[in-house]
Amino acid sequence: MKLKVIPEKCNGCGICVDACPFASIKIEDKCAKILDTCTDCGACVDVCTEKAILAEEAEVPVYRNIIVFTTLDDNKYPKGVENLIGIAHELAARTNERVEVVTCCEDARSCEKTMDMLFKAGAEKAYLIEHKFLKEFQPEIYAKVIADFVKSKKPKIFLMPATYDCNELAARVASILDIGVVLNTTALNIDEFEGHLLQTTQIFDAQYDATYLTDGRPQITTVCVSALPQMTFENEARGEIEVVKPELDLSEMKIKKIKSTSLEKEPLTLKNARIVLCCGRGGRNNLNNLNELARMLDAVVCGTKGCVDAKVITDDLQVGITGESVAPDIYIACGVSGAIQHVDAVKNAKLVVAINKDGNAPIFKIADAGIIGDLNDILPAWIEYLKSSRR
Amino acid sequence: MNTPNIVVCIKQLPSSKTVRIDKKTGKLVYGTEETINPPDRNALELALQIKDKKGAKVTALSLTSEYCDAVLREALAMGVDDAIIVTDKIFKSADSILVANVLAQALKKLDYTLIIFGENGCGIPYASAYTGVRVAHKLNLPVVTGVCDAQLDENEIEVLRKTDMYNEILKIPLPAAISVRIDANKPRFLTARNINLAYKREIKKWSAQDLIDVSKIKTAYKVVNTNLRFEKSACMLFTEGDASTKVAALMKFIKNRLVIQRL
Repeated sequence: MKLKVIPEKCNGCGICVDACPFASIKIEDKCAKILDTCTDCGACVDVCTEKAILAEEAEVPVYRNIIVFTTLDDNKYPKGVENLIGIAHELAARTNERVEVVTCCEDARSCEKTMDMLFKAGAEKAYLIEHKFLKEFQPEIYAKVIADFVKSKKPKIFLMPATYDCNELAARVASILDIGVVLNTTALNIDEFEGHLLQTTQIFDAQYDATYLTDGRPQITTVCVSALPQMTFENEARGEIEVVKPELDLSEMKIKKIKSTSLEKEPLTLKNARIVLCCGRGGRNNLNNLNELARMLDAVVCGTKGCVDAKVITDDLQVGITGESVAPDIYIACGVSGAIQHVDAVKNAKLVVAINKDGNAPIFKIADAGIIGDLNDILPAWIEYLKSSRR
Repeated sequence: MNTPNIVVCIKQLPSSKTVRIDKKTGKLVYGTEETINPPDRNALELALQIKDKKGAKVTALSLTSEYCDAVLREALAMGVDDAIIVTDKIFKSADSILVANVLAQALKKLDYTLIIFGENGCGIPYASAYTGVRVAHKLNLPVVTGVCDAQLDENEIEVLRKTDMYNEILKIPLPAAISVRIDANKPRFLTARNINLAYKREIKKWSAQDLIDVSKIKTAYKVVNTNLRFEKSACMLFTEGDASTKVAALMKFIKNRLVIQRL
């Protein structure tokens, strides 16, 4: 219900002002005016002698279907989008809805082939938002276009892959629509009773899983596709393509791009590597295996003082209080006993893994996980494991 | 040129040692919020660098559920000119929409040229993220995320934005809002003298009641439940089976422990 004053009928008597329990109505220029604080209770409608206040039944908008958004870079979508469509299918099947995709592009015709691949992955319809300013990703413009699109198509659920760009876009769209958004979800579920989307994400350094229910439609979320089970879907039918041509007023766009450079992949160093493998004195004879494992894990090999003294590792790669300190996501100590001078330099690592023959080695006191065993067995087994899992 | 006013919004985090799950509601409960959200130090540093170069008035603004000023004292010790704390019980279960509304109302009372936020890390409760984007939208300001460096001019600001894939240089007209990456700069060290002085300064106290109508709070998030994924406890040893079984078990453990990969 929404209240409306008809100025021609209102005589400005002020009965409604006295009747309003929320002080949300006032008289301006001999005409009642309803303020933002109005709760639509209707008290003023009942008292008005002139029938100058009308209650309009607001239309309840119907939100249906799941729409998956993807960015296109050079007509390619991020890996994982096909799987995301599969996941959307799984969710849509429970409430009997459709899965559609939407993307922004400069020229709709050039992306038809890409859309065919998404139809194959399970999309039933594709929307192409076409405009010459949508050639490359610009958060401000994309957010406006997508927010308008969502307003007009009214999907129930709006999914995006959790890329850097999409996370920002989701946040911007949600703030334009003034609704909630959950980023980087690792599990999705449908509420059995109401059919709402339940979104699970990791909080507090991934120590906790929290499941949220967001109010407002659509429910927007970005999905960490790799964290969810693989859901591939083979669809033969070719879906329908609808081209949407938005009107863009560029004067509203305040952010100006001066220069843009794509990033070259930086060479791995002790400081930027997310995984660091450390060779201790117990690992001296396994350097080849360590290097092979490091190559497969995108890791850097470093050494303890003992190893550097034995000239197995160069001294710029020494980790310890007389060498470098490191703070990688994973620190893997191979044949490292765990002397305090060494351990102190890795205390900021998020996860410490130790492999050692000696179950009483002090390294196990600070490690989060470990294997007691011979490096000669463990390292080849690890390499073999990675090789077979990548096949 | 008038002295620009820079407002840095700082988030306070509870110490992770006090966090536990309330079995009845499934929500996380925690003690007093007392540590600074790490990237907010980088936001302060960027503001102070602009101040050092061009001269500016830097104000730190923070919301808490219970009065705790350690974080703002730290900001004062770093060199901000003014500190404001908004305290109210309602923030105990606040989500990003409520926080953004209150911040926007508080900012309206201040005269700002530039608003700086720290980019959200991963370890944040209610990681509904991008509060800065929401605040900027409420104030109808242009906003840029992922900022690593900024040059403030009279009517515009030039920023270096970094993402996973590319770097770009952008120009934004003032007033504007930016959010700063955690690797943008190295926050300055606090000297004992400055810390000492910081405790003699006054911190302005505001209440949420002054800013918004507390009876009409809008929130959009409901926590359905929370699960502990792992205890940070003693070393998990894999001793069963042969080498390949151990390795497989270890890899499973590592995958579960890591903060999720985006794709």
